[in-house]
Amino acid sequence: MDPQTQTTSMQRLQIVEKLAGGVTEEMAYPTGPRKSSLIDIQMMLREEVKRTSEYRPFEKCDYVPRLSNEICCKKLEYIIPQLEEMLQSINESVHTA
Amino acid sequence: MEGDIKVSLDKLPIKRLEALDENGFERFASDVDYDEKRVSLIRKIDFAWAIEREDPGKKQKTAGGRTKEATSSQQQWQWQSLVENLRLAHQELMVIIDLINTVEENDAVSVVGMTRPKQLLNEHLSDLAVSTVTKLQCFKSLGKYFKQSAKALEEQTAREARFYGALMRLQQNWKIKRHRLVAAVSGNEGFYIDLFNNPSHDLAPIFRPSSLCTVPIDHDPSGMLTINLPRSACHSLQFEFLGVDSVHSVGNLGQKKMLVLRQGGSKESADKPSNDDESIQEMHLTLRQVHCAIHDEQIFDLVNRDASNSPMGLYLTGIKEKYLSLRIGEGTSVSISLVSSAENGEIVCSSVENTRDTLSGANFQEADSLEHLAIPVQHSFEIYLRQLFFEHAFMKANPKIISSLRSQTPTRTVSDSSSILGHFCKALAHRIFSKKVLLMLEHLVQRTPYVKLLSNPTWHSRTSTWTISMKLPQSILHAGSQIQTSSIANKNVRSQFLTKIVVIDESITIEGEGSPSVISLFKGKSDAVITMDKYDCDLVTLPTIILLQVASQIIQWLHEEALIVGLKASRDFLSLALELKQGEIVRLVAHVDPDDKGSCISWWLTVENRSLASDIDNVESENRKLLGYLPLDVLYSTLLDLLNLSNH
Repeated sequence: MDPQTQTTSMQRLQIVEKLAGGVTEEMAYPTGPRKSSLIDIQMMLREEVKRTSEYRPFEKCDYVPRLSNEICCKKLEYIIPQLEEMLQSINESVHTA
Repeated sequence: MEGDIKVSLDKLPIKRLEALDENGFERFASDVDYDEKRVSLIRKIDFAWAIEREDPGKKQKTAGGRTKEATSSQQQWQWQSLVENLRLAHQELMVIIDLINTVEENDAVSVVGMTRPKQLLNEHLSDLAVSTVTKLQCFKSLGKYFKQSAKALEEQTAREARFYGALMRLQQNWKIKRHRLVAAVSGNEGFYIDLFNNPSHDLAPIFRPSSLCTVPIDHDPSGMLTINLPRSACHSLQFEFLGVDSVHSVGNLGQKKMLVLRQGGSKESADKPSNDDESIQEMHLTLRQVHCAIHDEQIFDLVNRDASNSPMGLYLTGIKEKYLSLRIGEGTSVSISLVSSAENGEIVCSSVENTRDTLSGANFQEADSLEHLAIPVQHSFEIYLRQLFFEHAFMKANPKIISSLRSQTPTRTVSDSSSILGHFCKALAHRIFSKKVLLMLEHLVQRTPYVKLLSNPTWHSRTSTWTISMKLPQSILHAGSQIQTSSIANKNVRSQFLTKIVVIDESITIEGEGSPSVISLFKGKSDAVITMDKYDCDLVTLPTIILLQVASQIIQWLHEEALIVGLKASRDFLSLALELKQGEIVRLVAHVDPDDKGSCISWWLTVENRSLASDIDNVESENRKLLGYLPLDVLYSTLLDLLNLSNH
């Protein structure tokens, strides 16, 4: 298992808060913030945000009902032409009668 | 003496008070000598202006009134102080640098500390101003940078939104997973679709996911999601009756055509979908078909396992890697195979001969019946096969479903996990057999107009039921009088006779009412006991037995009606004897012939004269007349005519 995926949301909050603290520290430098460190923090924040909306595998997806639906679909495809034929013959007999 | 008197006083040796504190302390001026004081005062006088005036004056004299020189020298003079100051500062700096270098080279000496001169207020202010300005510029540049990167991110997001939008729509229906390692190695995110069907627990070790199960998701050049499917590996299940020309099976053909089109579609670029919706729909369709193909492969695996594990009751006639053929019943062979859909819709026609059995006496469309049976039903058996194995393999996890299914099928269900294929083969055999039975019954009923055939659905794949009903014309006397005079008439008023035909697997059972019991026949009187008879028969004797049943029911009815009407009547198995006056006995005899082209039940009328003796050998006084086919109301009116005859 990938350790990254086991990061809980609390841990992620911690990380983000640390980064925010780093940003404000940088801003408070008397000579102004260092661009390189700010860029680093920016990248890290982006990663964190991306990770919150990451794809989570949807393991509960059940293919069994899908298969039974496919079988039902095939049954319907088989039956419907027959029913249409029946309807057609009924209509014809009604018209001729 | 005239003149001023000048008095000079020496300084008093008294100290002069300079200041007085609030505490009372006296502060005296510092003891400075008089001379020194004078000197210091003189020093305070600035003679620079005098010196300046003198020198330029001299220079002017020497220069001879050159104003330029004067101004330049003035300027020069003005800057001179600045230059002097800078030179002095430079000197100081050089000294300090030398000092620093010496200290650096010299190990014995090190700098302990440096003190800055205390900043004056304006210096402090200017420092602050400088730092503020640099900070401001830094922030501005940062702001620009962030704006640019936000723009770039927006563009990237727009591109990815298409991809992830499509991914989310696919995610609603399919399992999408992610390979982290693949994502790290290659450029894309490593998504793939998992199409594997998880079977129920006891069958789990059998199934391994095939290579078809993982479908990688890629980006196409425009940033949209695409899926790449392997072309060759898609198979689908096919069920065939061997020996029958399967080109006519329209259902299969249409299906395969659709599959082939879809396979080619992923590579074609001729007709690109106009928008994302259509492309997602297409992908969905493709995924559906691949999913079905995987399921078909699993089913074929199960079929193979069944065929090899439980050979009892199955007759395997051929087995290949993707092909299985079985013998069903007497003469039919079927094949179950996996057909690759990459071959352009060709259906493999098997060349195995079908040995048809010849049913003696069954000279009606035997060949046609199989044709009629095979072609429309072939597709339905394919579906049935799929359903059986699907339920067995995948739905065992849910016991509620299974028990509800089983409750609908009371007998002969698949009680254990062995031989679903056996059950399927038996169902197929039953179907073929019951079709033959049905054809026979229809043929029979066609030629007997007063008899109707009803189908009773049994919702069981190995049981079929029909009912033959004969509706009787209403008794005239019954309609007229409301009062029942005879005791017999109090019993159930007949309106119809029912005969039930039940076919279970390949055995036929006939249940009917109306035949007289043997005991009542011997006794000579007819009890109004309605007996239900049950016969087992086979296909050959089926028509005869049904006709006999029907004929005896007619006789029963006529007998009852005769008794109601007041005639003296007695019945035999297939004949009704009516005693008229003068000892004449008129007999209506039914003749049953299942092979008759016209009608199956025909009637004879015999007139006997029994007044002399009741010896059966007296055949000479019998007159027979063939009445042929008679509908029921004619029979009834015949009865009434005989009644009239007997009354006159």
